[in-house]
Amino acid sequence: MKTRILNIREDFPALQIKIGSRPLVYLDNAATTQKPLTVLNAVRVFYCAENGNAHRSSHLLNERASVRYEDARNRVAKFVKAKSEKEIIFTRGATESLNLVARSLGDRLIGPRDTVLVTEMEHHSNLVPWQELCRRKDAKLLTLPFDDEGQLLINELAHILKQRPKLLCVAHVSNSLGTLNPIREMAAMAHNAGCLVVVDGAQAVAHIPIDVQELDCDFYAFSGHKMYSDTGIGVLYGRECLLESMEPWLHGGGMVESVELNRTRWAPLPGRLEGGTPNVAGAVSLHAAIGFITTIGHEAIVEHEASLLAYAKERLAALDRVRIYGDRQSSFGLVSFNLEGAHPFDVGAILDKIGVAVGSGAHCAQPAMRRLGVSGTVRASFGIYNNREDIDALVDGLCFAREMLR
Amino acid sequence: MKTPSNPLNDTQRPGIDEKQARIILRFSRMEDWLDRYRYLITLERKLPPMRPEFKTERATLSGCQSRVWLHTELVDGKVQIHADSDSRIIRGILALLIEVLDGESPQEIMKANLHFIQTIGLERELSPSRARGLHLLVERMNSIEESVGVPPIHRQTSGSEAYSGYLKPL
Repeated sequence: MKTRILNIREDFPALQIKIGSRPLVYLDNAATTQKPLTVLNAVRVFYCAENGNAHRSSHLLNERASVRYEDARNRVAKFVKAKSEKEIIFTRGATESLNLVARSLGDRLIGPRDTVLVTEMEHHSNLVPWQELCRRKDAKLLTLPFDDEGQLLINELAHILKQRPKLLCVAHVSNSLGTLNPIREMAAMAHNAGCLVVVDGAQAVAHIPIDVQELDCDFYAFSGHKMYSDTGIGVLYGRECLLESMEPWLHGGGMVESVELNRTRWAPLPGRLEGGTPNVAGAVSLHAAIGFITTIGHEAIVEHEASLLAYAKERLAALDRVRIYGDRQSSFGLVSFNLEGAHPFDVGAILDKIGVAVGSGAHCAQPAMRRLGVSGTVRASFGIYNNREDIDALVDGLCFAREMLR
Repeated sequence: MKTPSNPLNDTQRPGIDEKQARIILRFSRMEDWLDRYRYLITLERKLPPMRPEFKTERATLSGCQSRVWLHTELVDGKVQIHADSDSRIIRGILALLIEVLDGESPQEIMKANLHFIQTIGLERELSPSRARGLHLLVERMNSIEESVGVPPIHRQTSGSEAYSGYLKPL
């Protein structure tokens, strides 16, 4: 393990919580990550010395807040390799980012008899907005299935694209299976068929380097809180020309250039799509979180988490009555499994009692669970601060739960 | 907590309050969550599976993380409760609920203050989302007049007031 990662737990106050005599084992990072001191301190400093409203009247604190807010945008743009910061829209999270595309672009793009393509493994946040869009526009929702290994059927994609869907909405990494989807390849196929590509990156940003230009996607959505930042801040990356074509859906302060009583001119990008007082503290925390991630370095993160996942899968696979879902080779950041004959909630509840926090249930991906033929799974998902002892605690806990539920 | 009903006023059968008191006593002797879970799983094993024809949409409790079915019927003036869940811990709690309420009249159930789950601290043994399901379950029991077709009787405490504790952050 790299030294930078070795002592990292000390930077996370929430990981010092004790359950009995042992520190909490936190393996629910796909739900939300814990926050390092650098992020907590950045927010504190902002509120102590820089708190104003961004892009409003120009007094000292508003100026500082505006600078902080735009610094964050700039840093996000670099982090995901966007062409410019105009391509970065701040939102409340991935859910709002995806809904923003569905409303502001979808409502203009999609008409009756059009089709929108989603995959069977999507989080509800990248499924329901498109369902609703299709319902509003009398359009049809198409789905791309996945196989028993949790891999999308790319051969099917070529076939489905013949129906000329206008949008392909897909997770970069599945939140319930951990599958890393071949976005670049899918985007190339989709673009050839005249289809735009919307990527839900919520489960990818904390774990792998993101290059939106290389992925060649049209939109990329993610949340701050899944990458060591605050809740309530998220990002929509969009190609500038597409963002330009989008109608604002939140009307109010900050997103206008001039307002007359019966007519309003929208502000230029990105402000136009960010109505209302922006979440400056959230942006500050996201800035700090990106700093935290880049200091450790993606290379070290990928290596550390991949080795953890491999170890977790190896140990889980050696257990009787444990069924692992998804691909055993190419999944990312998490492992989804069930104890045969035991409800995931019961397993989660027993693990919780011994201080091991995991996700249990459908993980907001009910269609994916249905495809797997289960009501839910237990999900252990990793962050930069997890280590092999955490996995050992999980395995010990599972053996204990298995005995109890026998 | 109410005092157990006076045996002179009742037959030999224990009333709802007495049955609750017995469960509370049983749980007070358990040392930790482990004993409680083990006991719930023992109870769960004895709870017969619900007949499939009772597992209707109407019998399904929405808002629970695990699936819960609750079916009640009136037989000779007494309420018969059939309940099931795909979670074994929840089945254990359902078994307790059946122990307390099954065979009582709708009037007795409506009068009852169902406090035992809260008193024995079981809602603390469950995550907030589960406790929410538990709340729904008790609420469903308190509104039993709906399911057995007995006209509502004025009650001093409504289900949601009596069990608002379940909604508190845990």
